[in-house]
Amino acid sequence: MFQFLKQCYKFVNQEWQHAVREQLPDQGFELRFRESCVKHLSDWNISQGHEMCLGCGLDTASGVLHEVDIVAQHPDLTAILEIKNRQTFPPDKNDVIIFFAKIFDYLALNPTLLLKEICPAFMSNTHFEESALAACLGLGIHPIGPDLRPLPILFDNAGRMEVERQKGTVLPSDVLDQFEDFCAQLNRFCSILSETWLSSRCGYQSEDRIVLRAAGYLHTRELSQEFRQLNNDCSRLVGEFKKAKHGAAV
Amino acid sequence: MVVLPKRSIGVSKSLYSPLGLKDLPFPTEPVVDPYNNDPRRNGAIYAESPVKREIEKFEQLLIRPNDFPNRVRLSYLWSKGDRESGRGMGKTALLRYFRQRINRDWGQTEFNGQFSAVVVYVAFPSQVDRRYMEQLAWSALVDICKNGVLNDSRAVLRLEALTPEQGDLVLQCPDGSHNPDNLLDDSILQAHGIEITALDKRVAERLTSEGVQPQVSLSLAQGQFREYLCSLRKDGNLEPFYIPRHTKNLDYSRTLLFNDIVHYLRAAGFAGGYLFIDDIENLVDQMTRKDRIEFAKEFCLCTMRPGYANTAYNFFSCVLTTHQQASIGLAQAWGEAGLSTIARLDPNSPNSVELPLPSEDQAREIIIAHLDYHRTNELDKGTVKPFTEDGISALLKRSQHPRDLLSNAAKVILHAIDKKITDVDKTVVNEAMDNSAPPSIPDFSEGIDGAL
Repeated sequence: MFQFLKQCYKFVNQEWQHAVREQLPDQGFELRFRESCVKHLSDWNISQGHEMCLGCGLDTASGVLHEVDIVAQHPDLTAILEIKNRQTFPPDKNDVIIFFAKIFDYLALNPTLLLKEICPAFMSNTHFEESALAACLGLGIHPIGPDLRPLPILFDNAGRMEVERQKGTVLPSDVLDQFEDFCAQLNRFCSILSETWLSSRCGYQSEDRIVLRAAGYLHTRELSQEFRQLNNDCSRLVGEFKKAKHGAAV
Repeated sequence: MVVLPKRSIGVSKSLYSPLGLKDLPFPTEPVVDPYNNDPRRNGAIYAESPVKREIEKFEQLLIRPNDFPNRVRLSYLWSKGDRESGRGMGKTALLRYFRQRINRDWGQTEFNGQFSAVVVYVAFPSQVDRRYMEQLAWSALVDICKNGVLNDSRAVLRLEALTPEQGDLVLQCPDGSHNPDNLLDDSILQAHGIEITALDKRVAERLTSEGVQPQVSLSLAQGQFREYLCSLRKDGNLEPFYIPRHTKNLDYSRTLLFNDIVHYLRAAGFAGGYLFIDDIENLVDQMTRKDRIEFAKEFCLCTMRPGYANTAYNFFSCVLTTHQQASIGLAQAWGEAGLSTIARLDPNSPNSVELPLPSEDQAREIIIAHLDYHRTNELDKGTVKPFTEDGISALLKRSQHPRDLLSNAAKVILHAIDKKITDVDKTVVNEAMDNSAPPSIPDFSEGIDGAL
């Protein structure tokens, strides 16, 4: 999962910044990302453009097929990605909820999908509207955007900072205190969201049955603000750690 | 014509019988869960000899049968290591061992029949988000609803509310023996002309006079305390402890535990109790520095400072399990709350019991305890069968960390069964371990330069 989410985040924040824009409604955002996935995720099976059967020939319960932007298959995991690059208005809650409903339309007819972990992600080249971010967090969808890292990447960064700390990189005490708080908040966030992930919420019971566990009651709007703050803290702390490391090297 | 189905009368032959075992003797998930029914998971299989010294220190600090009022109020159960290696060392298993020792007869044996005591087990199995002390209290209340102390206390309070003659009549069974269960059976009480509503009312009045809130008194007297707790939540459940927007239960949890329940248990004859607070690191890992200070102060307020019945009567002794990394995070807050002066948060403090990594011999004892529990042949008890000597040595060389040890042992036995091997020697152990997929460990070796 991390590998796929990392690719998404790197694309939005690095690769796309230098990519040539095309005369398409999304400026070629989806096309370039697909090419990037094919190039960098060699052990993944990446769906073709305009994929209508979730990358594996599936029908839906509604009988109406949905276009899913990217379906990335790995032996242990299916990543389902919605991509938005709208210049006029940012993604809102309806975009997220429609994406979630599309996934459920496939699940409602294909319980075997749940035999592998499902990782839904929503990637936008513009910032998320607060309601969209809240909906993502409440529905177990990884949001990815400019300077908006999904939780697994925040964890990875925290792990890297911890390694630097253990290696003896000298940091000001206030940075260490902030890092300690950042880790605590990250753990708390992980605990809060643990029940929202699709694989925690839904389970395969038999070929014609899925189980769905009620999980919610979260203050997702409040969480969305905290999530942005976590990302800001992460950016700042990574900067401080890098500065301290390079200073030490000099 | 109806054909009546027949119940199985024989025990089907176990897959593990070729190894002389009734079942897989080791847990595939070696994480102790005191509420699990599986003896491999709930800590019921416990080798005392590897932790004999730690058990003795625990007894000296906390049990003190002849000096119970002077037992320590706050102590720590440590394991060496961090949030990875410090887990699975046997802290929960040791707590479970003492909990079972005391709660099986409410300390009658432990304290030589002088008085009763209760162990309340507190853990945080799911989402913990803010209001940490309130959740700790709620977790204790949930355990109190599960561990049977409410019913047994209710029985003794009912007995005391009856006349001695009524009490004798109710307790007596047709065969002449005494059965305390009768005190909770309304039909038996009614058969002896006792009016249940009036009896419950008398018990409730007594509890109120002892300091329990009237509404809580009534629920306790009627055996409806669990329902009372559920009524504090919109969803009517006890777990998970914290649900945003449903926090009325948490508003009352501290008072209910540290006032009402203490008064109730004292009324029922309990001289004191223990709060075993497991997995404190699960809380600490999610607390910012500010949260930790707030938690430490509230913890101190509820367990040390005057204000609650708990502190007025020195009722609960608290035992916190932790590992060194978590304690570093908590140390400053502990100091600011004044708890360090009562019990220094340090594995070397007099109030600490530290679990070391088992030696090879001790790890062997752990394996034998699990094998013995599942033997089909009593004569094999105390041996390492189906392991050969070189087999058990190879297993112990892999890891002596209790969690890893048990997990590895389960893999080896499953491998032996799969390959239809009856003598588990060094080759089998090595094959089984080499075949098992290594756990995926995040690689942060490139350090901060790889951060996104």
